Amino acid sequence: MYSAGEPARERRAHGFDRVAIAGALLGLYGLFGCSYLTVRATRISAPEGISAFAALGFGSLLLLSLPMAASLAFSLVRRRRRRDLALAVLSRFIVLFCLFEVGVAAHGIAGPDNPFARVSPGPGAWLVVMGGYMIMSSCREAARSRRTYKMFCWGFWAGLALLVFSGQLNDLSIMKELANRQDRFAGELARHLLLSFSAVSLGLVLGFPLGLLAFRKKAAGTGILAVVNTLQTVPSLALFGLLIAPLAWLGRSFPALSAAGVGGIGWTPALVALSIYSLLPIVHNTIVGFHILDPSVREAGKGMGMNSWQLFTRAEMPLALPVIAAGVRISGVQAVGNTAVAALIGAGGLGQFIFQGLGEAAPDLVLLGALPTVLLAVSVDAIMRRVSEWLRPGGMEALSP
Amino acid sequence: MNGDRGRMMRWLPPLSGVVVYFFIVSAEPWWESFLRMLFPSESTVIYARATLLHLVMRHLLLVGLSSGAATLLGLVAGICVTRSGGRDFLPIVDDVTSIGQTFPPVAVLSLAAPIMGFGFWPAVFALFLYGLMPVLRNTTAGIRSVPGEVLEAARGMGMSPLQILVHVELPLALKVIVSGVRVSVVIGVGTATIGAAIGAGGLGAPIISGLISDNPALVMEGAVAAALLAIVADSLLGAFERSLSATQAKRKPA
Repeated sequence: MYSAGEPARERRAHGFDRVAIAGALLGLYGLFGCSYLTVRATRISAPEGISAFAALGFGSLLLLSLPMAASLAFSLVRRRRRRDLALAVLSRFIVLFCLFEVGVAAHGIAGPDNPFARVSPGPGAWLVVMGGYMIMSSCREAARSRRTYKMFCWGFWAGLALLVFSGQLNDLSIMKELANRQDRFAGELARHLLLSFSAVSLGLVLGFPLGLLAFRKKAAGTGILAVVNTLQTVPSLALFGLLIAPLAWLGRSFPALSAAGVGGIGWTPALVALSIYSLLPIVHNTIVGFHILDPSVREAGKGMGMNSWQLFTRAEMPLALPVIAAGVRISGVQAVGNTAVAALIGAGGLGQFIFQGLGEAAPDLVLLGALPTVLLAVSVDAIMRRVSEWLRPGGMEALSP
Repeated sequence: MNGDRGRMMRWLPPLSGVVVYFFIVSAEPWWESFLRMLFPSESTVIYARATLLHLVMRHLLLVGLSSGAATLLGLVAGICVTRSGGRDFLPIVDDVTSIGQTFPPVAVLSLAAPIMGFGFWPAVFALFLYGLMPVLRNTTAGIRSVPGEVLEAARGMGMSPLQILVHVELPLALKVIVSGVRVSVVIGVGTATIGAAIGAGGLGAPIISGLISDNPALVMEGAVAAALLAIVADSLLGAFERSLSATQAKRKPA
């Protein structure tokens, strides 16, 4: 009843597409019922909403609302391939044009003549983007296999990249904030990446042998899992805090360590805590990965005269690797997020902007830290999913057409 | 007899953990002398603006409100998108919950401040949004994991859709749903600690104020209390989860 093919068949039965209808209605509501832009006279003054009509002018408003009305009409008709392709194009146009117009309006309000004014997309613009996303997602299943559809997808990403890198959005508040601290941003981003990457690498170096040990020796395994599980439960800020006193003591007692940078605040407690957090997913997935190999296959391998090293490299590792990579993915996503918290103990990274922004009550600065952190986490997730897929036995062949 | 004993062994450690925890956090003088012994050079060793018990209660209120609302809405939404009328929305809910879970909690929390301002309620709202993801995801996964033959059989017995939901789907999905709630609560306890940065109070307050004033004693006070709270909450919900699998195992042969 809940098989994968079922929803599509069901949709076809009642004809219209509820997700697309909801998306189109949400977009229209955003356009006409909410403020399209949020404007502030300076970076810390009170926000003020501007309606879509005032922000876009009649022509652009028409150009944005017509595709939405068309999507609404299309989503009411019978489901067909061609209709889905039309929705795919319309939804992408809506999202890109909405962002483009935000950039145009921002230039008008906060352009070079008005350097202190700050413009960001208001609730209306976000609802239009959300509605566009809903329409996009509704027609995905049926059209996914078509080459034209894939072209639309790439075209969309290319358009988005063009919007950002051509300078069309440069008068938006977050881009202004970025322009003001370009150098520091690059430095903190590099620091963030380095800290997360080192933590996950350390977690892998420690976690893999621990997981292997837990798999081989059941008694030790229960203990190891219980400990890493408990450590994972401890809130990140609390773990950072708990490490301050002992590491400060270490730094004070051994001047050599202190010279190497070991101390209560800074990168040492951050790296230690982040590595501890990376342990659980890696240990857990290592154990699960080695459990995949059927014991009877292991016996058969032994019967064929394979020694335990051959069994390990030829049978156990290839099966376990994609699962371990999935563990690294979870650890990586977590590490990116927790590194942002580590800014509170002076470890630097993108969290620096978040907490400085919260301290100054400057929303754009918070956004400058939070948005790249989110993008970083989402990309780590996407990349490691690919790696995991590629490591699966036969994964290489599966990739080539 | 055996079952009673098993139940006792399951609930005794977490429940005694709760009792011991509240005993520890209400023993303010004990904390003071302990922290003074550890950090003799600090003039203040304990957060002055609120007692530890008060901070714990505020923290629990923050997590309780947000996780409670997330559980309620996640359950209702999860049920809606697995009915025939709402199933169009299932793919998009899957997408949003799986992307949403990769969002760092700090980012979600810090974005609430510019939009909704500082204080208690913006933090509750951010924690609610973030906590919704695991509950919603596990509710849809749990309900979808009910085998088709079981639903067929229930329909064949003449059960109405509502009866099938209440007597078949929800009981079979309960364990998965509860494990989603557990994840949501544990993440909530952790993220609420950072909530102090947007003025929500709770156990993060002494940590952050200790970090700002360079006073490791205050950091220690908040960190120990927050860490123990998360562990106690996790073990309590873990016991609940295990008690459910025990009842399910008992019901199976019948």
